[in-house]
Order: sequence, then structure tokens, then C-alpha cells
Amino acid sequence: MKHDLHAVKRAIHGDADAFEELLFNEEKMLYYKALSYVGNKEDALDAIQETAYNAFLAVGQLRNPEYFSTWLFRILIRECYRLLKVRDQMIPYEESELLKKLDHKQDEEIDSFHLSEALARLNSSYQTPIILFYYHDLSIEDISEILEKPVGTVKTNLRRARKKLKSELERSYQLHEKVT
Amino acid sequence: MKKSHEPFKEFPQDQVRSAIRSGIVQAKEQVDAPRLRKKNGKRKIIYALCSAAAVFGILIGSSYYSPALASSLSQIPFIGSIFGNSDLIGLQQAQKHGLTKEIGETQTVNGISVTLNEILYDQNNITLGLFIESDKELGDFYFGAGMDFTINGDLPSGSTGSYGEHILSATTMTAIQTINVNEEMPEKFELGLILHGKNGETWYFSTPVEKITDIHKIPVQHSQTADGLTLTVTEISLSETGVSIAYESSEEETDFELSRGGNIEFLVVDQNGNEITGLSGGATGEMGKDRIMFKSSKQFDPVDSTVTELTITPYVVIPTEGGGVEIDENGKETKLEFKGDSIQPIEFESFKVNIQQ
Repeated sequence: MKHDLHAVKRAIHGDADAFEELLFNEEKMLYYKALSYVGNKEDALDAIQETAYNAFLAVGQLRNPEYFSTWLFRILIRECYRLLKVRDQMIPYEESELLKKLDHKQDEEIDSFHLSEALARLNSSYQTPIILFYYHDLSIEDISEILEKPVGTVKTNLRRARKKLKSELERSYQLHEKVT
Repeated sequence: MKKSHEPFKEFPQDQVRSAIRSGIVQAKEQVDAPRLRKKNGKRKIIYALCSAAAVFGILIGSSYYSPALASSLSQIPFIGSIFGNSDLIGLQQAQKHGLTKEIGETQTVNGISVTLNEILYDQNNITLGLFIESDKELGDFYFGAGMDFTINGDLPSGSTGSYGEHILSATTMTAIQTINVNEEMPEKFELGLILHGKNGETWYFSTPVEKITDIHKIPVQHSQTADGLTLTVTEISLSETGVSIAYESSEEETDFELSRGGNIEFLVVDQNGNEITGLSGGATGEMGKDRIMFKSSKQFDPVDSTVTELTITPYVVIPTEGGGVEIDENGKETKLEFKGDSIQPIEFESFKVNIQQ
């Protein structure tokens, strides 16, 4: 979203009303984005409150006012992730959407049941980058910032996660075949 | 697996805005620390009068408390309306006439859920009903002296009020917080509320509040001087939720602990000789060159339309215990030595006020 640059500059200089107005302008985006990460209303509101808190304290250091929105949403996503981590929860996703994005080759027959089972089998250092990268379309750099891990580690984890997910999906599919 | 969210549900704009405001209030509080700032260099003292179950944190209660408030807190059966279940006539009336604002917002920190149930903003107080539920048993005075608050995001320069809890079970309680209305409060503003727990937890709420409109004000300007203290009753306000008497006092005295302006109460009876029950309240004093001035408002239960005249007799309450805290311009707090029992009584004259409701 494009913001009034004067309002952003006022917020950078500590004007709380201007800052509040900027966040109100983004209120729907903030809410639905938070909801897509944390999966329920109460946690989404908690994440928004924490975002407003941290963003207000840090806005004085924002160098490029034109990137206010990007900067704000990074804080929001970080807060969502922090909240999920504290509660030891996986980032929610919609299976069909993630399946599409994973660009699976072997296929149609692998349904969401297999995907969620396979994802659940991955440990969290593989699970989270997969969901952030394929489902939430975050860049490797953003994932690295949110997870507080070097870019190289994120890349490695993503590669390993893909490999592991592939073998888990195949295994799960075969098991399912045998049972039925 | 269930879908992760339901995007077509109605957008909870009020709650999102409240979360944003709470975050900003919380951040501003951090930025503005130390929490108690002074707007001017005058010495000020803050007294608070607390109710029975009440709590003494930075504000230490005096000997006087309202029996009405104490008994109301002991009889609340369970959450529904904390005000409606209270036996304070003013709060019951407010609830009955729809003058309270229902909030129902819950914030949970460290397994302790605090629900801001309802708010009443009348000519006397902002009164808040809270419901508190925790995983574990909370000890006494877990929430100290109750809530701090902000007016449109700013901390007030001084405030008085009371906070009382009523224990429902080992892990649940209700609480009534009152904030005495003062000149700093606009008719309509964003009220920020901050509650601190013993283990460093903090709960934040932020909500718009608006003073009830049906308040009948009667200018009085009755002044009398007795024993070196000039007392001026400036105004009487009447509403569905109560009666209040606004007064100012000025006394030749340099020791806050011996000054009497903050200990003034009023005996109020109607034309038929029925006493109107008074409620507890605080007073904020200010020290001039060689005088101490107090400005406050005393509160009473509401009166019905058959009441046409009030006879008011001011008197001084001599405290038996209690004390105060002096806060200087740097926010430094000094506990004052208790000298209340050396306070000298004053004989005031009664006066009558006609009220046409």
C-alpha cells in the first residue's frame, strides 16, 4: 500500500497519531495476513498488538519512508512466527494451495491427506521454510530474517526439506496403497 | 485437516484498532518511562482512598472507606454485569438505564485472563468492571493498587481513584476500578488501561469512552471560612448514576499531613431528613507559597425526582491510620510520615441547595 510520505515522516519523528493512522490504513491487510499465519482471531490480534508495539519503538530508525508498508509487514510476520514458536505450533496453510505451489510431478493421486501427514513428519527447521517459501511466497532473505538464520542455512534447509518431503510423500502414498 | 482460517467472516475492525492502539500505548509507556511525569514543577500530593478488599500499592489508603462499596464487592455472585450485580445504587441504575458501555475484551498473559467487562463514565468517575481468571491461585494484592491509565495515549499528571477485588473462587475474581474524573479528561477520549501483575505481567486495553450526557449541573458557589480554611462548594451535579458535590479548599498550612482540605466530607440530607449515602473518593492537593489548596468532588448515591432540596453539612474526617506519597517533578516517590491523628476538627455551617430536576 502507498502511504502518505508526510505521515510516515511524522511517524518517524515520533508522532503517535500519524503512526496510528498509518496502521489503521493497513488494518485489513494486517489482520488477514496475521490470520493466515496464526490461524485464529485471538492470536492474530495479539500479533497485531505486538507489531504496533515493536514498530512504534523502531519506526525512528526507518531509513526509507517509502518502504513503510514492507517494513511493517516484516515485523508482523516475525511476530506471527514468534507467537507460533512460543506455542510450538506449525504455520497453518491450505493444502490444495501448497500442493499446487509445490509443483508436484508424480501426482494427482497424492492428496492433501498425504501432504499434511508428510509435512507433519518433517522437523520444524524443514517444515517452516517450506510453508513460508511455497505457501506464503516469502523470499529466502525474508525467511532468513524471520527465522534469524543465515541465508545459506535457509537454502540448505529448503533443499533438504524438498528432498525429504518428496520421499515422505512417496512413502506415505505407498503405505496408503498397501492399506487400501 | 481443517482450513487454516475463514476469511469471509466479518472483519473485526474495532478489535483490530484496539490491538493497534494497545500496542502503541504500551510502546509509548516504554518511551515515556519513568511512568510518573510531571507537567509542572509544583509539589503535588496524591491521596487515594481505597475500599475494603482493597489494595495498597503506591497509594496508601486512609481510614475512611465506603461501606457501600465494600458490601457491594462482597456480594457479587458471578460475572454477568459486575455493575448490575453491585449493590451500589449508582452502578445498578447505570446498568439498568443502559448508560454503561459493554466491552467484553479479554487479554491473557501468563495464564491470567483479564476481561474488561463494562465501563461507566459519569460526572464522578470512570468505573470499570473486571473479571479475572487464572490457571493458578493468585496471592493477595497480585495487581497492586489497580490500573494505570492514559488519556488519548498520554499519562495523566495526577489521579485519584480506588480499586477493590472480590474473590469468587481460588482462581476467579471480579474487580471494580474507579478513576475519579478530573479536569484533564475530555468528554470523549481514548482511554488506555494498564494493569501490572506481581510477576511482571502487563495487560493493556484501549477503548473509546464518552461521558454520559444527561447530567444536570447546579451552580452553587457557596463559600465559608472556618479555622483558617476557606471552603467553596462550586457545583452540584445530578444524574441517574449519582450526585456529586464539587468543592475547593484553601488553607494556611505548609504540611500536607496536617492539612484538612483533603479530609473534607459532606453530610447530605433531603427535605424529608433522609440521608443520601456518600461514597469514597480521593482529593488532589497542591501546595502554594504558604497555602495548601485541594480541589475535589465528593460522590453520593443518586436521588429520585421527589427530592427538591438538599441540606449539606461539611465536616472533616480525622483519619486513624493511612498516609500519602509525595511525588516530585522527577517522579521520585517519598512516603510521608502519618500525622493524620493530629488533625484538628473544623465546625462548618450547614447550607441548603434547591434542586429542580
